[in-house]
Order: sequence, then structure tokens, then C-alpha cells
Amino acid sequence: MRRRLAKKLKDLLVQSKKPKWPGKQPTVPPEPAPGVPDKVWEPAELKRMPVSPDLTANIRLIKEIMARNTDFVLREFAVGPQQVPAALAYASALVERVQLNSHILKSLMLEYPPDLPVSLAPVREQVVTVAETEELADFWQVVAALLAGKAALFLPGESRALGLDVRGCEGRAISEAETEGVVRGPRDAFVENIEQNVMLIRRRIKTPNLVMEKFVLGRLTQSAVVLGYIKGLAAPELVREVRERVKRIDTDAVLESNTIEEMIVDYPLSLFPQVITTERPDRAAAALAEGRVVLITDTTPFAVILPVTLASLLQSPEDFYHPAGISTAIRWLRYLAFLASVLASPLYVAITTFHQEMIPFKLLLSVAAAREGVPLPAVMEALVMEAVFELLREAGVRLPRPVGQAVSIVGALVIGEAAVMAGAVSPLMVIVVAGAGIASFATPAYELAIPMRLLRFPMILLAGTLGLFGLTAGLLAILIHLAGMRSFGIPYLAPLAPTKFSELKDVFWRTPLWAMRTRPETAKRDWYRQAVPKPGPPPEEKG
Amino acid sequence: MVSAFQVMLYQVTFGLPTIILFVPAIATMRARQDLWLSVFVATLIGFAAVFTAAKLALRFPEETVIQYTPRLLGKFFGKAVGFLYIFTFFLIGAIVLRSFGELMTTAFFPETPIIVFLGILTLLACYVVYLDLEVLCRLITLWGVFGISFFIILALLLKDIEIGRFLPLLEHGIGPVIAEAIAPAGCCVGAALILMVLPFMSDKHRALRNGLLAVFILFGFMMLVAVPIIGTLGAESVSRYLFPYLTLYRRIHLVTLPVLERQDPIIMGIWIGGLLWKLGIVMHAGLLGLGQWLGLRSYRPLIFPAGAFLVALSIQGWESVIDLFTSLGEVSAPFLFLPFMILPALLLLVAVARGIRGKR
Repeated sequence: MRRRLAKKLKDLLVQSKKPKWPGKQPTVPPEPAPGVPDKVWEPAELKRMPVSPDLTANIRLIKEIMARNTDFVLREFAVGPQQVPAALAYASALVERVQLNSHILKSLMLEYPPDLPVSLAPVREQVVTVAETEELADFWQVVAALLAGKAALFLPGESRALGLDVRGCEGRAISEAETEGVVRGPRDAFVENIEQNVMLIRRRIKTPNLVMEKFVLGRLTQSAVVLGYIKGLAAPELVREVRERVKRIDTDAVLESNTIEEMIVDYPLSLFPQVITTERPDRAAAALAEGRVVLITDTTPFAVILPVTLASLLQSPEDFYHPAGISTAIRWLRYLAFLASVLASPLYVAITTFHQEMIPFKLLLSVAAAREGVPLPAVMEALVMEAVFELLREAGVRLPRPVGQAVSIVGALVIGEAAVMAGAVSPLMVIVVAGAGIASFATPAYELAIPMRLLRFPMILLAGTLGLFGLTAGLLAILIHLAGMRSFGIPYLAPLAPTKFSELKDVFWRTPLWAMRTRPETAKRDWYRQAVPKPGPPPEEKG
Repeated sequence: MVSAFQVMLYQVTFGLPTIILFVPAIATMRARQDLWLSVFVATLIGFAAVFTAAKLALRFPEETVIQYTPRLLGKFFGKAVGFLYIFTFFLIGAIVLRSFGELMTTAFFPETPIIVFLGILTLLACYVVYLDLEVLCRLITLWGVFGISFFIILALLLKDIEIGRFLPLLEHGIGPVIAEAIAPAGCCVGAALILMVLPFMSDKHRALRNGLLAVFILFGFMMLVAVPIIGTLGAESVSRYLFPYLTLYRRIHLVTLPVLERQDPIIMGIWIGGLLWKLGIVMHAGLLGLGQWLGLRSYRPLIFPAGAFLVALSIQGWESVIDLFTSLGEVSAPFLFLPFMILPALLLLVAVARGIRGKR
């Protein structure tokens, strides 16, 4: 019996060691193709490899470098009636085929002038009808050009290759801004293609002083990042500082502007945004005209505006597309909403828990009636409600669009109604939390609304433990933090503290455009915006 | 670098919270309904103090008082005087902390141990001091906006003010009026803090003018405190209240606007800010002085020990709120004249006599 058991166990053990499916045995890795090793190419190594006058050597090298890439094409052909061998390399997914065929291959193979010598300079100057060409001296440049969607032309006897810009990248069409909607104002928004984004800004600002400096960042992504500013408006120190910081970025992948943002801001651990992210070209253009600096990253529709102040984060581009009075009123509404988004529920908790004497008697009666039978203390109630609200918001973002609607209705209406009916939460609390939620969505900058929503939780805790004193202490801590921050040399609370009276014109109210005669502090070098008074009707004759 | 305007607000903030909170209660003990006359005397004293201090500070525009006293008085006496200044700043800090804690426990949270309030306020003050003078001045500027709303509410009390409560004028002669000017003057002479901040000012030539202006603003606020308090409550009851100004605000009741039954918790919020900035000012001055006194490159490592020390001092220093108030009126306020008025005058005298000037 015992022996049998031992045998069985042993069999089991052996069985478990046996490979179950012989077919799934690890196969031997395929032999590297002769002459094409699976080599990892370092940029430094590529930079040391010059393009040689020997065409076959070049072809062999480029094939080695681009080994196993199926989208890489090397087309060998003979040039013109002279029948000189040549090679054209490109990445098939990144080029525009029509251009390649008609402007390069056709003109080289069929229309080559018989008396013209086949070398780089005449080909570039007289044959190839492509606007942007460049000479590529080493294989690093060749590879960079290929991967950027250009074609590289190798000719025998030339120690340079010719880079031909035939990029044809499919991208999203310019559409409306998703996160920054306006009622009145331009509708176009940035897209993923950096050149289109630069175009969108250039179309708005037509001055030669608008500079768009290009950097290539990211070891793997080689993403283009454009630093835009207006010479003579933006402070040179600011531009220099941003340029230095951007240049010092050394990372693998720059896929979104947040990579750059996080790398260059002054206080990386702060919850508060230290740049404005926008997908509206009109906003970027307005920032440029104020002497700010814009950073556009390839493959993302979000541009980054620097430096930033709290006041500028609370502005909407639409403020300048409506009459001044209306804009001022809306702006104040937004300020109130900004405060309410962080203060509403903590204030409710503090007042109902600690300072009932502040509530007028009639209201106190209804508060007491509403809270009767609610099992949780106000602070816990508020925390739970806020957490549920955040959950709904996050779920609403993640869910597929058709489902999202249903979930928000079920979540907000059904659960809320049921919770109140069941006596789990007081209806007043639902009102307060929902109001604060709506208020937080009225904040024009999403990245500013998020920290305020997060800060609500510690504030509720403080209000629930120490009443208005705790709330004030929490607010003071936030205020101290904000007052201590700087964004590229500009204090975060800038026109308010330190006070610049001439700049309050765009904070407390929106001055009519004809009265906004001076530019903001960031563009102080060219202080006056307009020289003549408002064009109005001719003065009436007295008589 | 801070501007002269910011330094002016800094000087006002040094005096204002204490003036609002405690001075009426202390000053009405003897001067009664003539409190508003004492304000004039206090302002004159304040002018004299800030004038001497600014003259002395402007003689040494790039240094604080801690740095040049050894040159004026010799190493030993100079360091002793420097220590006296540092001690004064920490003493004021302890007073501010304790009075704040007493306000909170007496008026709003009788069940909560006082150390909670002291601890939280000190932590916040440590944060401010860590971020340095520039940030402190920014915060003070910002708070000024709220501070104004604080006094606007007072307009609602205008109808309650009765002229009869200010009579009889000079019931006990001029003596008590002058004697009771000491407590408010103790706050006014704080404008002499220019001795510590002048090196960080960007437009130094305005130091004297703005210092005098600061005292004048304080005069205005003192009047705003003294007149409504005596006019609405009457000197008799003011002297009995612990925090008469708070009582004043508790009277305000907006019948036509039944949103909030009482405004005093909001006032408390503004007050907390004011007291916090005052604590920040004295902590910053004290720590800056201590760092320079010890010859340190930065005072930042001292911030938390100093905060802990302040909390301990403020709890150990006084037995009760009555003790605190008595010592405030009888000891601390007169003592402040020494570092803020008498010593600057002496130092100025020595500097002129010995012909010592600071580097320009």
C-alpha cells in the first residue's frame, strides 16, 4: 500500500516534470542571417560611420542597420541614359508614394538629361523636384532622415547621401477642442502633427519676430519639440532659461508634453499646475502676444504655455471674445466657483458640526430635520459622498461614450435619490457635494480643478476635527504654498502678491480691450500695446 | 528683495492683530472712555520710535541691528544687545502664540486642549519662515484684501455709536490717558522692526517715510478699534470683557440678509491669518537675528527647534489668561520700549558720536 502510494507520488512528480506538449518545446533561435547580425546600433557608433563613395558598401551598411524591418525599402536602379547605378532608401509607411514616384524616380530614371554628369550637386540642383533636400554625411543622419519619413539617395562616388523630404504622414484632421470648449471664438484645435500645430500658430501671428526653435528630445522617440516666442516681447532671460532646461532633458521617450512639463517645472512635487496646457491655438497665440513662451511637442495636441500664474489659469480664452462687462461677470462667477469647489463641503461640515450658531434659525431647523436619522457624522458623510462623486467622474472618463451617459444617470440620479430616500445621507449633503462638483467643472483649467478636488478631502477632515479653525489653517497652508511658488521667475500669485497695480486690470475685472493699453509684466520690454485711442464716432458738434 | 510698500504692510501687520485683540481690554482698565485720547499719545510714541529706528537702520543699510551692534558697542556689549533683540522677538512670539491659543479656547473651542492650536499655528509659521521674508510679505499683502472686509463690516455698527459714552472727557485727568497709552504704543513701536528688514528692501530711501506712514495707518486702525468699542459697548463693559472686539462682532446681526446668523467665526478666520503673519514676522526676525548672532550661513536648521521652543515658552510663560493679560499690560508692553525705542536711540547716539557708518 505504502509502496504503491510512493510509486504513484513519484510518477506524479516525474509526470509534472515531463513536457506536456512536445510540440511546444522551445525552438532554437534562428540563425542570424549571414552578414546581418542582430546588432544593437548606438547613436555614437552610427555617427562615426561616414557615407562612403562606394555604393555597394553603403547599400550593405544600410541593409545591416535596417535589418529585419519590413517597412524599410531599398530601391536600386540605374540613373538616366548613363545607366549609373544608384539606390534610394526610405521607410514605406512614412513617405508619400506619389511624390516619390513622380518627382524622384521618374525624373532620375526617365528624364535625366543625357549630358549631365551623375553626381550629387547636379541631381540636387537640376533633376530632383523636391523642395526640401539635405546632405547626409554619416549614417546617423541617414537613419534619422529615414525614420523622419524622408528618402535617402545614394550615388556612387559621393561621400554624402541626399536626403529628400517626401514625408506623407497620415494624421487626424483639425477638429474642435475637446477639453476647452467655447461658445464664441475659433473652433480649431491642435492636432498630433507638430507642423500643423506650428502652422496654426503662424497663421495667427504673422511677424518675423515669432521664433519657433526646434529641439529633438528623447533617445528613442527623437520627438520634435518646438519652443515658440516672440522676439522683443518675451523676456530674453525667460527664453534662455526655458531653452536651457529643455536642452538638458535626457530621457527615453517624449510622448506627451507632460514629460517636458514635469522635467522643467520649478516645483515638481506641487499639486498645482505650473504650466498652462492648452489645445487651442488662439490661446497659445494670445500667450505669445503677452510675451510668454509656448512649447509644442510632436505627437500630442497639447501645447504648454510658460510661465503661469494662478490668475492666468483662471482665465478662459473666451474672456476676450465677449464684451468686457459680461466677461468680468463670468470671470467672477468662475472665481466663486473655484473657491466653492474646494470650500463648499468643508464649510458645510464645519458649520453643521461646530458652529451651528452661525446658521439662521429657520435654516437650522431644516438642517436638523434633514440630518435626523442619518447614521454617519457629517464629516464621514461628506468624505463618502465626495469619494463617490470622484468615482463617478473617473468612471465617466473611462467608460465608452454611449455607456458613460447611462452610468452617470444611474450613478448620480438613481443612487443619489435612493441614498437620500434610505436615509443613508442627508439631502443637504447631496446638494452641497453636487454643487461643489459642478463648481469644480467650471474651473477653466482641468489641471487646476484636479488639485482643488483632491484638496477637498484633507480640508473636510480638518473641518470635521477642528471646525472653521481647521479649515482656516488648511487654507492658510495652501495659500502659503502658493505664495511660495514661482514659475520661471514669476511668482505664482503674481499680480496680487506681490501687488502690481497695473496688472490687476486683467484679474479683478476684464478691462475693455481699447483701454488695455499696456502689455502684462511678462512682455514689459514692449510696454505699450496700442498708441491711438478707441476709434469711435466723430465728436459731435456743439451748437 | 521686498518693496517699501510691502515693508510698510509688514510693519502694520506687526501691530494690528494685537491692537485689535487685546489692547482695548488692557487699555480701558484705567483710561476708560478716554481710550481714543490714548491712541494719539501712542501714535506720537510710535512716530518717535520709528523715526529713531529708521535713522539708525539707514546708517547701516546693508546690515541688521544684530550685525552692527558689536562694531558700535564692542564685542561683549554688542552681542549682549543683539541677544536682547533676539530674546524680544521670541518673547513677542510666545505672547502672540499664547494669546491666540487663549482666544481660541476661550471664545470658540473650550473643550480642545490649547496645545492643538499652538502646534498648528507654529507649524504654519515655521512653513512661512522656511520660505523666507519675500513670501511672508506677499502673504501679508494678500491678506490685506481680506483685512479690509473685516473693517467694512464695522460700518453696520455706526448707528449704535452714542456720543454720550465718550463723556465725561478726561474724568481722572491726563495722567491715566498717558499711562494707558503704553499698551497700544507697545504695538506701534514695533514699526522699529525696520532694523531687521532694511537690508532686504529694494528701495531703501523710502524706509523712513513708509515707516511713519505705517504708524499713521496703525493710528487709523486704532481709532477704528477704540471708537466703535467705547461708542457701542461703553467703557464700563469693555473693561470687563476679555475680547471686547469679538463681543462687538457678535452684536452684528444682519436682519435683512439672513444668510449667517453671526459673523464672528469669519472674523476669527481673518484673525488667525493676521496672528499667523505676526508670528511669522517675529519668528523670522528672531531666527534671522539668531543665525547672524551665531554666525550661521542659514537659519533654516533652527526653524523647528525654535518653533518647539516657542510652544513650550508660550505654555510655560503664563499661568492663565488673566496672568497673560496682566503681564502684557504691566511688563511686556513697557519692556518693548527698551529694544524698540531706547536702545535704537542709544545706538544712534553711539554711532553718531563714534562716526561709524555702514557700507553703502
